[in-house]
Amino acid sequence: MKIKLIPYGPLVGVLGEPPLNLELEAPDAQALLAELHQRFPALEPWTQRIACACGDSLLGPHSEIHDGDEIALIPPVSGG
Amino acid sequence: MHLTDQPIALQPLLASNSDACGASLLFTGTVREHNDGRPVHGMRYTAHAALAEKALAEICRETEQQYAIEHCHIVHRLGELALGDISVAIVVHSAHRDAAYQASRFAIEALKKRVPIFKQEFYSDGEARYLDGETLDAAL
Repeated sequence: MKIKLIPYGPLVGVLGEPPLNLELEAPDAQALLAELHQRFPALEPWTQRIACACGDSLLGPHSEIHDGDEIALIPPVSGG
Repeated sequence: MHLTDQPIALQPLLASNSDACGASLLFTGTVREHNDGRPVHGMRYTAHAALAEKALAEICRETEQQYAIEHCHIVHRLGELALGDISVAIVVHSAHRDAAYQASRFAIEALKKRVPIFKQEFYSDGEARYLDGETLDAAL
């Protein structure tokens, strides 16, 4: 299936300017991140540190990913 | 709205007080000229706007409920900031000062842990880097 990835913060430097159109087989958010870590080894410093969101909702590990979804990748936050 | 790309005006935040409140407390975060021993000349803040607005609204609600204060409002600046610019302002209005101090501290600590805003520092030697922040609880 085709999804659109929107990286934020330092992840833009690793994955490139959004949006990124990718073809993935991941059925859920956890699998999506696992596949991304395989494809982009430079994500290693952010292992278990990236949250996924769709719209204004954060995704749980088993949140389903559907064809055409736009998924935000949220690294550690540093506001203030 | 909690996010703005314009300079944060403090007077309207303080003016949001009511007659029921004897204490108003304003916290501001500003861009300082150094970090980790490196001279800083500016910053850029970016955000996932929809999630950040939602998280900031939740923090304001939680702050009001947990500390029994009349009103909490948070404004965070986005975009390019220069030294001395205000990056964040938190105002709390309450009947008494104790609740105001506790509530303000809770709000800024929650913001730093839960709001998808990203700080990039620009150094005087021309380098730039994103600060390593707090991993969201929802991280996978």
